[in-house]
Amino acid sequence: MFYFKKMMIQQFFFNGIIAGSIYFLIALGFTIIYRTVKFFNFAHGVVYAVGAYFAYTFFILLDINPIISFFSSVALAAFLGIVIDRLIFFPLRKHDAPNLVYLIASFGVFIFLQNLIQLIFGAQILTLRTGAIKEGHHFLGAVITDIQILIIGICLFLFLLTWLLIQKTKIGKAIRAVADDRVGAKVVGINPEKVIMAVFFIGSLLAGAAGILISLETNIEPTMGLNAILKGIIASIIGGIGSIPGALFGGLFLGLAENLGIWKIQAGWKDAIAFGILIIFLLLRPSGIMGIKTKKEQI
Amino acid sequence: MTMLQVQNLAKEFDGIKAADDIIFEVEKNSICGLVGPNGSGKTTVFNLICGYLKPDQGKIFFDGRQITSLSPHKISRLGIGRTFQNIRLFPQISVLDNVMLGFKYDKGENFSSALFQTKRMKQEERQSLLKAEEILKFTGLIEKRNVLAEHLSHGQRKLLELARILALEPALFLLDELFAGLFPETKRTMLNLIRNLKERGKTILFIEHDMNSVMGVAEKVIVLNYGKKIAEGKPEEVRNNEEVLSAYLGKRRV
Amino acid sequence: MEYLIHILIISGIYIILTLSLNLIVGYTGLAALGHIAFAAVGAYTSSLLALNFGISPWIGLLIGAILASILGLIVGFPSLKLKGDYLALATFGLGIIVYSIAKNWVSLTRGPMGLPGIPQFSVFGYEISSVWSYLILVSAFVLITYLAIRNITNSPFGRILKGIREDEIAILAMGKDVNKHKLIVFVVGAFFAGIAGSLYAHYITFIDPSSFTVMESIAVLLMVVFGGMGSLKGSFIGASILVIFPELLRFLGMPSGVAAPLRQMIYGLLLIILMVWRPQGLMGRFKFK
Repeated sequence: MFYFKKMMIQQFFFNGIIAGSIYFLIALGFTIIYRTVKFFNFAHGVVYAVGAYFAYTFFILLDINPIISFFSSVALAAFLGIVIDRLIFFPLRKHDAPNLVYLIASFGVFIFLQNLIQLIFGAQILTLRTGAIKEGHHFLGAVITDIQILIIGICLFLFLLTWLLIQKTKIGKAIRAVADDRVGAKVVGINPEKVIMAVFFIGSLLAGAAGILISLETNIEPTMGLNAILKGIIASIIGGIGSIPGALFGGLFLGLAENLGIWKIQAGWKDAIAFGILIIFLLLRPSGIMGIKTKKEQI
Repeated sequence: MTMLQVQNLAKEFDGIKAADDIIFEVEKNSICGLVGPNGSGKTTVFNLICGYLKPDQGKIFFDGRQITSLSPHKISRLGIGRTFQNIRLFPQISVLDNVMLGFKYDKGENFSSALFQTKRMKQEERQSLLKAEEILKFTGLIEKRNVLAEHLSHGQRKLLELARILALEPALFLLDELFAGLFPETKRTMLNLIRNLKERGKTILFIEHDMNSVMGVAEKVIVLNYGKKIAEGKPEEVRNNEEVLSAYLGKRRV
Repeated sequence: MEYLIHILIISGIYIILTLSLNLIVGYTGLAALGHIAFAAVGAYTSSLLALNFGISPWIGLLIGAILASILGLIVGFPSLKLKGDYLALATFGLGIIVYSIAKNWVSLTRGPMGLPGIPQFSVFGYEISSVWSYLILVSAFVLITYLAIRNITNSPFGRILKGIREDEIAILAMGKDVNKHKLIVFVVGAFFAGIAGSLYAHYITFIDPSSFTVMESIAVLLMVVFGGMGSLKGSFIGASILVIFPELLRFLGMPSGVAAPLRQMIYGLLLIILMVWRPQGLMGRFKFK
C-alpha cells in the first residue's frame, strides 16, 4: 500500500478507502452475526485468517486456478463458521448463557484456531502475490493499483449483495425476524436455528473473502486475524452494531481516521487511535451512528 | 401527616406517556394501594420515586424532604425500601447473606475495616447476624438461612424480598406485586406481616393489579390507567367508580 | 532444580495476578479483560525509576503499584456505565492502548527494544539474586496479597461485592453505593497487579512490551475462570496448573516452534470447555451472569 514516492494527502485518503473497505467487509459479517445472536463473535477474526490460508494452500501450494481457489476458500470459511456455531455456540444457547460467556468462548475458538494455523503453516510470513508488482494508475495525485480497485469493487459488490439479501429476500426477512424477536419468530413458524446457521454461513463467507482480499495486498501470517477482528469490532460499533449501512460507514470512517491520522502521527499509534475512538463511542454513544438501540434493562 | 407526596409526576418513553401528571399523597402509618391494569404505569411510578428513573416533570417529597432525582441508593438510605415485581434476589448467595446485605453498617462496610478485619467490623457483624435471624424468624424463613436464594420456591422468594428490606428498617415500604403468584396460605402470611408492619408504625404503599387482594387491607386506593390517575379514595368508593370499572373490564356498565 | 524454583517464582507472580483479577471478575462480576496493563505499569515504573534515577526497587515497587492503581481508577470509570460484553470490549481496548504506549513511546520505554539490566531487589546491601531468595520474596508477596484479598472478600464489604455481581439494581435498593465499590475493586486489583509486574521486572531483569500483550490478559482471565470464580484457593490452583503444565511440554522435548502454539491451543480449548461445560471452573461456586 505504500509507494516510495512523494506522499500527498490524497494517497493517505485512498489508502484509507482501501483499508476502510476491508474493515467494512469484516464488520459486515460481524455485525450481521451480532444482530442475529446478540453477542460479539471473536472467532470471526480467525475465520478471516482461515480464508486467507485456504487460498494460499489452493493457489500457491496446490497451484489451483485462482478463481476456483477463491470460491473454494470462501466456501470453506463459510462452513467453518457454521461448524463453530454448532459445536460451541449452539450448546451455549441451550444453556441460555449470558453474552459474556459467548464472547469468552469465541476468544477460545480464536486462540485455538490461530495457533493451529501456526502449528501447521509455521509463523513465517506468506503471500498470495506472484510475479512483480504492477505499477499503479495515477489518479488525482495518488497511486492506486488494479488490485486495489478490484478490492474496493468486490467489497462494494458484496455490500450490495448482502444488503439486497437481508432487505429484499424471504431469507433476509427471516433473519430480521429472528434478530428482532427469536421467540416471536418461532411462533410464526420460522426455525431460528436454521436462520442462525444461515447467518453464520453468510457472515463467515464475508470474513473469508475479506481475508483473501487483504492478502492480495499484504502478507499472510497467523496473527492476521487479531488485528482484523479488532478493527471489525471497532468499525461495527462506530457505525452502529447491527446495521449494515453502519458497517460501511464505520469501516470507511475507521480506515480514513487511521490513515489520515498517521499522516501526522507515527504509524505505530494506529491501534491506540482506533481503540481510543472505540472507547469514546462505547461511553458516549454505544449504539453507534446508525445502530439499533439496545433494549434497556427492565427494572 | 404526609409520608410521601408525588406532585405532577411525568415520564415519557418513545412518545408514550408512562406517567402523566400524577398527583397523590400517602399518609403516615397508612396502608395504601396503587392499582390499575397492566401497563398503567404503576411500576414506573415506583421507579421514579426510588430514583431508578428521572422524571421529565414533577417533584417527589418523602417525609417533607424533596427526593426527586436523588440516586437510588441514597433514597434507600433515607428510609424507603422497595421490592421488585420480577423478584431481584441475589441468587448465588445464601438467604442469610441476602438479608445481611440490607443492614446499614457504619464501619463494617468500610474498605479499611474489611482489609484489617477490625474489632468494630466483627462486632457489627455479630449484631447484624442476630438481627438477621430475627427477621428470618419473623418471615418464617429461618430454616432456609443457608440455602442459596436461587433454590427457594416462588413464595419463599417473595418472603425473602420482604425480609431483605426489613433489614433496611425503612419508614416507607414500596411493595411491587408482592402477592403475585402466591398460594392463599402464603398470601395470608404476607397480609399478616403487612398488618404487623403498620402496627409498628410503618407506612406502606403497595402495587397490586388484582383489586380483590387489595380490598382487605388497604385504607386508601389510587387507581392508574394509561399513566394517568383516574381515581383515589377508600376501596369501597373506588371499586364502584365507573371509570375504574371500564378500565378493568373494557366496557362501560350501563 | 533451579529451573523448578524458577517455575515456582513465575507461578507465584501469576498467582498474584490471578488473585487480584479474581477480586474484580470473580467476586464483583466485572468483565475486566486487559488486567496485564496494570502489571505493565508496575513493571515499567519500577524499572525506569531504578534505571534512570537509581531508586531502590522496593520504593519503585510501591510507586509502580500506586500508579497502576491510578490506571485502575481510570479503567474503573467505564465499568460504571458499561455492562458485560461492552465492558469487556472497553477494558480490552484499554489493555491494547497501554501495550501501544509501551511499544511506541520509545523515548520513555525504548519500545520493542525493551529495558535491559534492571537492578534486583536488595536487603541491607545484599542483592536478592539467587532463585531461592527470590522465591522467598515472591512467596511473601503472594501471602500478603492472599491475606488482603481474603480479608476484603470475607467481610460486609465483600458481601456487597457479591451483591453487585448478582444484581446491581437490587443492591442499589439495599442502599449501597455501587459506583464507589466498583472503583475501589479496580484500584485494589490494579494495585496488586502492579506489584506482580514489578516483581517480574526485577526478577527477569529485562522487560519489553511483548510480555504485556492482550493474550497475557486473556491467560490471566483463563486462570481465574479455570481455578474458579470467587474462589481464592482456586486461583492458586488455576494459576499453578496453567503455568506448570506448559513447562512440562517443554520437558517432553518438543521444539519451541511446536510447544508455543500448542500451549496456546490448550489455553483456547480450555476456555471453550470451561464456558460450555463448567463455567464455575475447578473450585468456583459462581458463574458469569
